[in-house]
Amino acid sequence: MDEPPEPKDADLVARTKDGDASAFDELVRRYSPRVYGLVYNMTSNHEETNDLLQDIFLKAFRSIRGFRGDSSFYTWIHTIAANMTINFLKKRNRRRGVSLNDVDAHIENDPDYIEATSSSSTDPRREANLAELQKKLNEALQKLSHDHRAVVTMFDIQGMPHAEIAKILGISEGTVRSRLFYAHRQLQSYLGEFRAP
Amino acid sequence: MSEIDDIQKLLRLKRYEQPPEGYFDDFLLEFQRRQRAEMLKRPLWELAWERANLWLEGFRVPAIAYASILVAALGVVGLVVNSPNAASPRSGLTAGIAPNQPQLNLPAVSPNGPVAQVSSSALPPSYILEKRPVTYDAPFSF
Repeated sequence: MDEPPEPKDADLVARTKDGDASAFDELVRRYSPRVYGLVYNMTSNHEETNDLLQDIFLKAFRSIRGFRGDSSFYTWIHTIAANMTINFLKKRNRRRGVSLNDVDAHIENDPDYIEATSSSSTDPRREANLAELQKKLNEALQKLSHDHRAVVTMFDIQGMPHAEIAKILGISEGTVRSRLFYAHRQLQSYLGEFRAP
Repeated sequence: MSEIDDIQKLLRLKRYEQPPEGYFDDFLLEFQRRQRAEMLKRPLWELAWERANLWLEGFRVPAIAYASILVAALGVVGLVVNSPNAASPRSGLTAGIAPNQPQLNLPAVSPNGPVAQVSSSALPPSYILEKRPVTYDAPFSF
């Protein structure tokens, strides 16, 4: 027997506006993993991400009456998340220590991971383990400006298209490309030892 | 393979960093708790305002209905302004004159026609005779 189709975001938004809190719960269930990814990769701290994520969804719930549906709910919630995270990072005067999540064990089978950490007789510098790679990646990301980190997170880690990032951040696609270009150049110098020879 | 591709491959590995198992279920429970707590803390007037808005939205009156009501209201106002009573100079025109504007001190208009109101001290005395002399004889007496 076929399962009933999942309600569309727009329907869930309309039901939330009519006072159905369970409809918003479904939106939280649907989008919390992706929004978590955005916030976590910008803060590199699980506890801060958890607190911010709560605030982001509470703010969205409070403001949902003002959501007119000009953009998708996906874009709208990511805009709230990106703005709140950037504001949080600007106010955070002293960087709290990183608090990283465990890496999924499936990474061991990822060819990109194998390539990045494999022993190479020609280049002993590339010998690295998982913890070292994770540490280096996060350090490199934290050296980027907040705006550049947001674009790198959305494009390189989350795989969003340029146009979507532009809508979320309220900038042009050209600015997205330009920020990515400069961010990648910076990351090249920080992560040079892990690049293929 | 370009250096940028290498960087992008490394960054993609960040996707494997995931919160502990069951985190998002717990997150939702915590969210529900905070959401309900916040709703209870809201002032009464805010809740009442929201309820009132919800109640009004329930009518779902189309915009054209509002436009019709506006047109009807304008029509009624137009009828009142153009009614014969409203056109009389005493009630309509003089009422609209601002107090600081110069006003013509026109005499009141009697129903029988205009009557010149001239100060008696400014003119020499004169007598106005009736067209027909006064008589006490019965008219048409033979």
